[in-house]
Amino acid sequence: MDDILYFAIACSSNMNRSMEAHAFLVKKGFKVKSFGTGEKVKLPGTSADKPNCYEFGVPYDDIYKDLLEKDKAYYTQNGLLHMLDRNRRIKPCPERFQASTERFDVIITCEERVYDQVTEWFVSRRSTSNQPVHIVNIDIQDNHEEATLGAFLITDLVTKMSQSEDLDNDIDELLHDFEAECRRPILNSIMFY
Amino acid sequence: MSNKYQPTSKAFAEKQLIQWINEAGMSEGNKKAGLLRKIIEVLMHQLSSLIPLYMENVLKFVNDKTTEVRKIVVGFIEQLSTKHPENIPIIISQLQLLVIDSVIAVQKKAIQAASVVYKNAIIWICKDNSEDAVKLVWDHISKLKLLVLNLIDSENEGIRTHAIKFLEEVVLVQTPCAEGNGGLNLDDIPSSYSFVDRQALEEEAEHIFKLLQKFHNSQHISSVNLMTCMTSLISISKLRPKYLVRVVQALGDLHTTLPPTLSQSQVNSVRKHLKMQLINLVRQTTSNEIIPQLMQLLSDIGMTQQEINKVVPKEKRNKRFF
Repeated sequence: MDDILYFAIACSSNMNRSMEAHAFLVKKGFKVKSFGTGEKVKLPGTSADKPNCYEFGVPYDDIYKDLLEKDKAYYTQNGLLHMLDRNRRIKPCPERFQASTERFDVIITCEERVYDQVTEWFVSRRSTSNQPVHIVNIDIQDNHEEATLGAFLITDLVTKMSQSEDLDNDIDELLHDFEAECRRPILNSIMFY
Repeated sequence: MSNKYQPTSKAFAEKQLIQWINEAGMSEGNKKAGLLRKIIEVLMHQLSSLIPLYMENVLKFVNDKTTEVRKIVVGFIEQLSTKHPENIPIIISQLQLLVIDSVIAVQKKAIQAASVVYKNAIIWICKDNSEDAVKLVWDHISKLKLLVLNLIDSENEGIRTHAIKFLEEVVLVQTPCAEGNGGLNLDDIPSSYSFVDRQALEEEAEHIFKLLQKFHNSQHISSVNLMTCMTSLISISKLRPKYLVRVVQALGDLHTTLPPTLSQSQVNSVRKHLKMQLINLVRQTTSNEIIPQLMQLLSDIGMTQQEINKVVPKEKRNKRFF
């Protein structure tokens, strides 16, 4: 029972890519959490130079109401309100990876910059329990369609990992095969809590 | 009010604990594992004064036929060594059995726990304990080290990964550290015991370091274990500067002769890992002496001068000209 792998999915703001995958994985019954690694939660605004910025921890519901008040028609049309409505039904608020005290077996990141931030966080700390964690990056563009496609890929990878009886032994081969299937370059490393 | 009810609630908790212990003895598989988790939770957090009385009731499952149960026993041993180290003389012998368990998952968890228990056992030895008890623990630690050392050649990747991390801990503890902030080190180990030979310990650390270095530059290492080994060597060099030059040399050698078995993505991952570790190493004060070599290595792995200037502080860069 306790052998169930614990997954973390991370993107920049814990809004689109990580939440799309989180929703998929929860429905499939995987043990999963999602995170953002950026300084702040950033969402597109009505112009490119005016993004909507929030602190991690501000509830999705509050962000939803804020955007609803700012420009209901615009944020309905670009899908942000729909996305926030989905998010608030999964968990209360966006969470920052670097603030988490939980230990995962696998962390999947959605872009190289996020992968760098996660691995840098581990490199800057001294491991205390020597518990390993595999970090895998799959590049997913930050838009609705790619997030859906990315969630399928992540679900596929998570399924394969969960089916492995000994992931530490199989991971090199498993990722090699997965990379050939998904035709996207994969980065991976191992870090220790 | 709380004082009045405390004995009752403690008595109730103990009664409940005894009931779970009895039930666990008659249960199998997941049910037994669930009961053991509850027993450990109550013992560690509610009834810690009763640990000496009841811990055998958990430890006796070290040979249980259910894998999960044995893994829970490993977790209990690790927790005890950290929170109640006075029990180390009793639990350390059990850990040896688990390190050579027939199931890989148990073995991996036991090696991971062994790296924590090993450190806690050394800290315990550093305190004022009876010589007989210290001798007993010392002998068990020595056997444990030998067992894990042999596992570096295991056919299982995960076992090797865990063994590398354990050996990293041994090198750190058994090497002296002149500067502060280096954590537990050889100078902390009391030399008053006849069976403790500091020079032999330092030589053992040197031998293990060389083994890790050899493993790191082997042509048949997997990408995951290459990254594990790289992380371990760099951790050692950060905390024990006497190894710094040899670690940077090993990293340079690796860069020019990566294992031929790695795929392109694995090569990219390893190079990225190397770059990130090097950048972190540059930022450590302990690396000041070899900044020119580190800057050269950063350049060799493809960083432009502008990128290097960004990660190497100006005052460190200037040092090369003095």
